[in-house]
This record gives sequence, C-alpha cells and structure tokens, in this order.
Amino acid sequence: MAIAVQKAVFNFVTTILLMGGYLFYVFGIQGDVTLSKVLDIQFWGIFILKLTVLMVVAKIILFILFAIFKKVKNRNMDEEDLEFMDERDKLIEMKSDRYSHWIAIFGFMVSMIPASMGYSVQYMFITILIFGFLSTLMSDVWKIYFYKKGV
Amino acid sequence: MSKDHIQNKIRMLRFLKGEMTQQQLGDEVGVTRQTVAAIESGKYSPTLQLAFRIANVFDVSLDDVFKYDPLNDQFKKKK
Repeated sequence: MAIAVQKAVFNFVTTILLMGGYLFYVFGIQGDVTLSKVLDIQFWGIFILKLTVLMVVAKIILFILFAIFKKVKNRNMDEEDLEFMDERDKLIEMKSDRYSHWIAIFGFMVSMIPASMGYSVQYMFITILIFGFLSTLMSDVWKIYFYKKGV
Repeated sequence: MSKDHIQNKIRMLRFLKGEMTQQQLGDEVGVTRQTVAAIESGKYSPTLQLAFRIANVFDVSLDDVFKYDPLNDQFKKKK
C-alpha cells in the first residue's frame, strides 16, 4: 500500500476514533448533560471549540506517532518521505478536498432548514456537526478512491 | 478512470535503459514510484512539464514516449 493511501486510511480511522471518543466523553463519561444544557447555545459553542482543539492537537500527536512507527518499521528499507507530494498527490488532494467542501457547504445549507422552521438551535448544530464529520471522512475516502482508480 | 486516448511507451523505454526501475525513473523526474506506475498504466496523465522530464530521461522526443489517439478522446468541442 502506498504511503499516501496509508496516510488517508490512518486519517480516516483516527477521525472516527477521536470523534467517537469525544462524543463518549461528553455524553457518556461526563453524562451530566441535561436537556436544558443541550438546548443552550453556549453548550454547543464550547462543544465545537473543544472538539476543534482536540482534533488538531490529537491529529498532530498521532501523525508524529505514525511517522515514528513507519521509521522503526522500515529501518532497513529505503526511507519514504511522509511529507513529499508530487503533482499527482496534489491533484488528488485538491479534488478530494473540493468534493468534501461541497458536503460541508451542503450541510451548512441543510442546517438552516431546522433554524428557519423555528426548531431549537441544537438541531442546527447537530446537522453542522454531522456534515462536518462526514466531509472530513469523505475527503479520505475520495483520496483512497483516486489513488486506487486513478485521477 | 484510465485514459485510453493517451498511450505511453514508458515500460519499453525503461527496459531499453537497462531495466530501469519505476523508483529510479521517479527519482529522476521528482515523483513517487506510485505516480510512475499510474502513468504507465494510463491511470494518470502527467503534466506537460513532467512529460518533458520523462522524455528527457530517456533522451527521446515527447512523441516517442506518449501517443495521442483523438478517436478515443471523448470531449465536447466548444461551440
């Protein structure tokens, strides 16, 4: 498996694990999320900010661990540069990012539907979160697809 | 997503250059082995710059590396 595909698979798996872990932490372990709290816009603001910080920090740490693991595993082989991107890699990244942005924009538009219908703010935030999560995942899925099928 | 209208002779040219590996060619032109493999199998069409670099490695003209078949090219002409 090419290093770029491995990175995409690694990203895909860690995104699911981090999101799942964070949701479990907020709604499972803490468990003191009452209905009034969920309806509060402040709760969702803190939720998204914490999630963003967690994702960025955890991804950096996990990527460093991934790089160390690859280095140890391929000690006796030709070194693969994890950061190197040629023109095909850049094209694949651009295409997959563009498609994932469409999902994010679509999700934002969909999130306006419950807001415009007068539903509580939680539905809007949940819709944005779901589509944001989906767009992140789909970016990696498209990368894997383009690497396998060609671009 | 193979591009049937653009064929190449990279495999043959590598053979003629002392069975040059995809990795060696990739190193020469600044791309990964996977990209060379994708170009060879027709899954990726290189940029003009990369195409010229590949031709330069084998010391041949661009036409000797890549062949374009307009009959298989499915594109819409601008009116």
